[in-house]
Amino acid sequence: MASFQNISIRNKLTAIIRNRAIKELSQLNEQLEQRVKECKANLTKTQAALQLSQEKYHKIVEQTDIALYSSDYKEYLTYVNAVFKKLSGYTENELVGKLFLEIIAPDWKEKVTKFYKEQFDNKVQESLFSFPIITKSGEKKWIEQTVTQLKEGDLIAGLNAIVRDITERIKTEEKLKEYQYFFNNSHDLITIANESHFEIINPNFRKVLGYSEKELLEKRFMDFIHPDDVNTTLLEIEKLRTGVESLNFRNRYRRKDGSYLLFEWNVTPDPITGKFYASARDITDRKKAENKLIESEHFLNSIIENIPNMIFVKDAKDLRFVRFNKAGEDLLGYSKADLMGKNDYDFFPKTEADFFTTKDKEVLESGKLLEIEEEPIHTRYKGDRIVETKKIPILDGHGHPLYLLGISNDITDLKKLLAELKQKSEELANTNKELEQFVYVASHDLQEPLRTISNFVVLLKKKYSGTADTATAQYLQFVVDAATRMQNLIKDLLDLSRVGKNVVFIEVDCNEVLTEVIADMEASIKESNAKITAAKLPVLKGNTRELKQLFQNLISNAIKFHKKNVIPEINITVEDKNTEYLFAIKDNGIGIEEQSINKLFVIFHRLNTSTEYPGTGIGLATCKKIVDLHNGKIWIESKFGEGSTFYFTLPKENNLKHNGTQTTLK
Amino acid sequence: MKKINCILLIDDNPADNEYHKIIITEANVCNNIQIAIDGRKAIDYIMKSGEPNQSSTFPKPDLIYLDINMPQMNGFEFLEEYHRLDERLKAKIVIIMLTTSLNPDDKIRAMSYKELTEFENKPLTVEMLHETVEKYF
Repeated sequence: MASFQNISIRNKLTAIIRNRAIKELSQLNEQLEQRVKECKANLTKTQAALQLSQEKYHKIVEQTDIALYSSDYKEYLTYVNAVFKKLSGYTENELVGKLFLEIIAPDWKEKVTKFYKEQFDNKVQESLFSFPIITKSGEKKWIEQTVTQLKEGDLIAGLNAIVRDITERIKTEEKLKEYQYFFNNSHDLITIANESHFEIINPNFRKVLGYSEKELLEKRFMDFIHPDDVNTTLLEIEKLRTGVESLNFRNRYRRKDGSYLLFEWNVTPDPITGKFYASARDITDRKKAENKLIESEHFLNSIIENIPNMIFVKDAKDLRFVRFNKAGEDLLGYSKADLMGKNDYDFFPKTEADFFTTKDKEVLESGKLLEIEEEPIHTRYKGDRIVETKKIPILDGHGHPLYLLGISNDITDLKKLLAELKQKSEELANTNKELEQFVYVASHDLQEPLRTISNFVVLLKKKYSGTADTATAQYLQFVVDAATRMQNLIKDLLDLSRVGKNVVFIEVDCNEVLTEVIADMEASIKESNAKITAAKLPVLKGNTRELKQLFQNLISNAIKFHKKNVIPEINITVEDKNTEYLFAIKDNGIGIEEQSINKLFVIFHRLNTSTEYPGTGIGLATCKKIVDLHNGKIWIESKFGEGSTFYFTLPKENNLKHNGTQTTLK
Repeated sequence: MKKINCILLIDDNPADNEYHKIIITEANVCNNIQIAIDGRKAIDYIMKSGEPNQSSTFPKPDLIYLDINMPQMNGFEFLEEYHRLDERLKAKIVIIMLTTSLNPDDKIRAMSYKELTEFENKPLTVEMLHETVEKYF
């Protein structure tokens, strides 16, 4: 029964428990419902708050001046804010759903992709990177973006990016870089300095001067300046202090090796900070070149000024004088100051000025040098002069005339002198002619009385032969010999004075000439047993009579100066020398001593005593005169004791040098 | 030795004439030597020699020696004048120019006169005379 009881208890208990449970449950339920109610209210509140927050956030995001965008994990844009749209120039529709990569500047796409890949691979949460994008209008804009990954668990759900437009900053940076580049690479020396020291110097300072930057900055710049330039530099600094710029100021700086360089400075002072912004250029070489140019100009100037000819330059446009030298001033009687900028019409009579101007124009138009052999020119103090002028156009690179250069030589005195000289030389020629005529006539007229003397002395000698005493016979012989010698002398003189008189040149066959000479000399050839051989001689232009004389003199000479007891051998040869023939008359005679050779063709010069080798000393002088007349040369080669060779040349074609004067006997 | 009748010396120089006379005599080629002291007188002589009854005073010369330089009428002028004379007067006369001149031009000029036979240089010699007489007579 227990069980029953138990059951009843149990039932009772169960009912109690149940009731209690129900009660508790309903309480609990109430509580729960209350909680749900509260929760619901809370949720609504939270939802409202969230809504508010979202709106607030959105508002913030949209209203901020920072550009923002979000993308999904594949980098398709999911959100862009207004600033970003403005920055990129695209609308929301054009951006959302597109790849962000598309607006990156093409040459940066790869770099940007690579950068972010590395970021993600290395699980870097947040990163900063700058690169350019291309806006809708095609403009390149530099942005700097901070990218934050959005994660769902371990997975990247997307990206949030804060973007700043840094185009201006980049531009400034680039400019700054350029300034820096310019500063660092300038070949000028650039510095910012205060009154005593360099504060900033560009690298070229070191390069040019050879000091370290430290040395240059530590020392006072005045310590580098040439002692002679310190004062001028100090004065220049004084000027700068007053705020005045310094332009093209020059001073010398000492290099580390002790040498000096010449700098040319341009300095702008800042009156507020007292700083100097300066650039300098090393003009040492330029200065040297300048000096050289100055020297060369000075050199040319000296020449132009001191040359005895008048030199003038006119501008090509209106022929006004732009240059005049001293000789020009002296000649014309006007100073440079008088002449500059003026033209011919200001100084010369119209006809002269017209002539000069015409010639000037001719030169400038033709572009060629013109020589005016003679032109009259009126001068201020020297009256009318005659000048010889060269006019030369000075052209520019394109051949257009810039200037007209004139060089004039005052030939007035020269012309006068020439005229005098001409007169004198005519007088001389006349005197010479008269002299020749005198010699000719005198010798001719001397012949007759001499012959008479000779004739009668011979008769006397004959008449008294055998009856006269020895002394008388000897005296008579002296007279006969002297008369004979004088006759020879006169004959030779006549020959000499006759050379060139009444001469015409014709075709002469030298073979015929020689044959005639040998025939004429038959007696002396026979007497001396001389052997004469001759090559075939040419036909040439000359004078028969003179050539005959020439051959005759040379052959008789060769016979006359033969060695005792040696048969004279004379060989005549000829060589063709293009425009002339070279004749040689070779003998085996006594020869001539070397020191005497030069005197050989001098008139009256005899090398031997008259008793041994009688002669007048005129024969070879006549030969020379004949060869000269034929425009040839004559000389001798000889070995004393072994014989001589006389050479002479005769041109094939020939014209008379001068025509002799007609000489007639009284 | 052949002998000729008369030689006329035309020369203004008496010494030369004297000398020539001696040489002609010595050569023994002629006994009658006449002298004219210039060309004009020589022409007169020749004209006279052609006149009748003058042969003793003005014998006709066979040979004439003619100098160049003479007053009044020189040798060349004589030759020109002589050229114009009647042929009968000139018949058989040999004229030789006898001169001091060594000028070849004078010789060339002289030889251009057809009446001139020879051009010889003074002094006249016995040999020259013999040769001439041999050659032309």
